[in-house]
Amino acid sequence: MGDTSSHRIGGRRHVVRIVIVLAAAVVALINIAPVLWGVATSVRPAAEIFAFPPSFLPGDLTGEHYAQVLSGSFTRNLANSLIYSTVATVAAVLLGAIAAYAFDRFRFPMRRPLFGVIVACIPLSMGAAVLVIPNYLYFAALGLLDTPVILPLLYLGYNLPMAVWILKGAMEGIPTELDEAAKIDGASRLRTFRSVILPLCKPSLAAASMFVFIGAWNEFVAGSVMVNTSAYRPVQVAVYQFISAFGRQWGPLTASAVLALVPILLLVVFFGRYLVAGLMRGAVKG
Amino acid sequence: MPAPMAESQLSPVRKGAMKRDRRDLVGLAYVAPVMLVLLVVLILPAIFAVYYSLLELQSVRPIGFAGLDNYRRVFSDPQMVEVVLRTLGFAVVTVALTLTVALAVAVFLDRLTTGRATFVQILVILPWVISTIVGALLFRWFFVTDISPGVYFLSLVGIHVKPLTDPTLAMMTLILVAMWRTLGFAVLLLLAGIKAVPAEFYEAAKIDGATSRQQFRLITLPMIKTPLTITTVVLTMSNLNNVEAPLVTTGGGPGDATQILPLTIYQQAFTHFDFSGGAALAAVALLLNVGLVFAYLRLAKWSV
Repeated sequence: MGDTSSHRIGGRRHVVRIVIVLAAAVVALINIAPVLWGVATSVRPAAEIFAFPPSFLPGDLTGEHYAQVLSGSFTRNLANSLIYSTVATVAAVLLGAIAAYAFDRFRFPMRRPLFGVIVACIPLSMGAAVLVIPNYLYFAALGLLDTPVILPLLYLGYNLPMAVWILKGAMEGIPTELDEAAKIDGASRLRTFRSVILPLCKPSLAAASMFVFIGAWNEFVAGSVMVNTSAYRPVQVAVYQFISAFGRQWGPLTASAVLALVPILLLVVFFGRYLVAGLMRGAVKG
Repeated sequence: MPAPMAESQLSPVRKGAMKRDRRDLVGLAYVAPVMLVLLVVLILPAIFAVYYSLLELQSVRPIGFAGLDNYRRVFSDPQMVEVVLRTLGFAVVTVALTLTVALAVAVFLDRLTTGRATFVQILVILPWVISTIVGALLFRWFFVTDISPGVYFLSLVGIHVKPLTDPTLAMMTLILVAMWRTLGFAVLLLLAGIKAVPAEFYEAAKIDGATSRQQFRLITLPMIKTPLTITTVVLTMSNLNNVEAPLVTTGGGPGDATQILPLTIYQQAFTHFDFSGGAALAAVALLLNVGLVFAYLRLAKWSV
C-alpha cells in the first residue's frame, strides 16, 4: 500500500522533472539559437544562406562577408565603441567607488536625499528615448553635438547610478572595524579607501565595470542622434545602418552583428559570474 | 597629524555615533562629481523635457513660447491616442507574460546546484547582455523572415505564417522580441528574491505536509512580493522606452500595427525633425516614467 503510493508520487515527480527540464531546454534554445544561427549565417556563402528549407548542416565556409563588412568604416566604429565604453567604465567605477565610499562611511548634509536621487536615477536612466530630446536640444545649445566627448559623457551618466548602487552594497558588507584599524595605523581616509576598502570589493568592482561596459557598448538611441560624423559613430548605429544599406544581404548583416557581439560574449564567458552575482546581490537589496 | 586625531575623538567610527556628525563636508566633495554628471545627463533633461515642450522650436532653436500648442497639435491626430493605448496594451501584455515565464524559470533555477546554476544563469542572461539592435536583428533572422528556421519549423506542423504582413502577428512578434530581451534580467531579479526566503520556512512547511505547489503559493509568492513588484516596475519602464525592438523588427508596421510611443517620439524628433512635437510627446511619456520612478524609489530597500 505504502509502497505503491510512494511509487506513484515518485513517478509523478519524475514526469514533473522531465517537463521542467524540457521547458528549461526550450528557453535555453530560444535564448541562444538566434545567436548561433547568426554566427552560422555569417560564414556561409550567399547561395546557402538563401536556401529554403534552411540547412542545419555545416557546408562551405567563407570569410567574404566579414571582409565586406570590415572594408568600410566599421573597424572605426568598433574602435569608437571600444573607446567610449572603456572611458565610461573607468570613469564610472572611479567616481562611483569614491561616491559609494562617502555615502557608506561619511556623514554629511543632504546625504539621504542625494542617495535617493541616485536610486531614482536607476530607473530614470532607462528612459533614454524620453530624455534624449531635451538632452539633444541643450547639448545643441552648448555646441557639444557631434563631438567625441558627448557619447562617453552620456554613457557614463546612464550607467553611474547602478555602479554606485552595486559598489555601495559591497561596501556595506565591509566591517567598519577595518577602517578603525587603518585609522589607528595612521592611514588617511583616502588611503584607507585605496588600500583597505577597494581591494575588498574587487568582485563588485568587476560587476560594476561589466554593467557599465555592456550598457555603454549596447546603447543605440543616443548614439544614433548625438553624433553625425561617421568617424564618431558607435558600433550599434553602424549595425543599424547596415540594415538599410545591405537590405536582404543577411551574410554581411549577420557578420556585422557577430562582430558587434564578440566583445560582449568574451566578457560574459570569462566574467559572467561576477555580473550575475553583482546583479543578484543588488537585487536582494531591491 | 593633529586633525585626524581630533576627528577620531569627536566621532568614533561606529555608525550610530557618526550619524550625529553633520560637519563631514568632505563627503560632499566625494559625491559631487557623480551628482554633477547625473544632473547634466539625467536630471536636467527630465526637467527640461517639460520646459521645451512649451516652447516653439525652429529645428533646435527656441523662437517663442507655445504654451500647450505643441500638445494640442500632436494629440489632435487621432492616431496618437491609438499609439498611446497600443503602447499601454503592449506593455501590459509583455510584462505579464515575461513575469510568468521568468517566475517559472527562476523557480527551476533555484533547485539547481550552484555550479550548474551559474552556467544556466549565464545562458539565461545572454539576450539581456546582447544589444537590442543586434538581438532584434538576430531574432528576426531566426524567427521572422520568410526563410527563417522559425517559419520553417512552423510550416512543418502545418502553420504557414508571414509574421510581418499581419497586424496581430506583427504585434505578437514585437512582444516576443521584447520578452526575449528582458527575460533573463527578470529571472535574475526574481531568483535573488526566491533565494532570500529563509530555508526554515520550507522545512517547517514540509513537516506540516505541504506539497511543493502549496509551498510555492503559500510561502514563495507572498515572500517575494517586493521583488516581484520591483521587477514589474523595471520591466514596464524598460518596455515603455524600447525604441530599438520595433525599429529593427517591424519598423512600426504593417501600417501602424506596432507603432508604439517610444518609437513615435524618436521618429517625431529625429526622422521628421519636429522637435516641438517630439518634446510634447516626450513630456507625456516622462509623466508615465516618473510615476514608475517613484514606485521604484518606494519599493527599493535603500538606506544610507
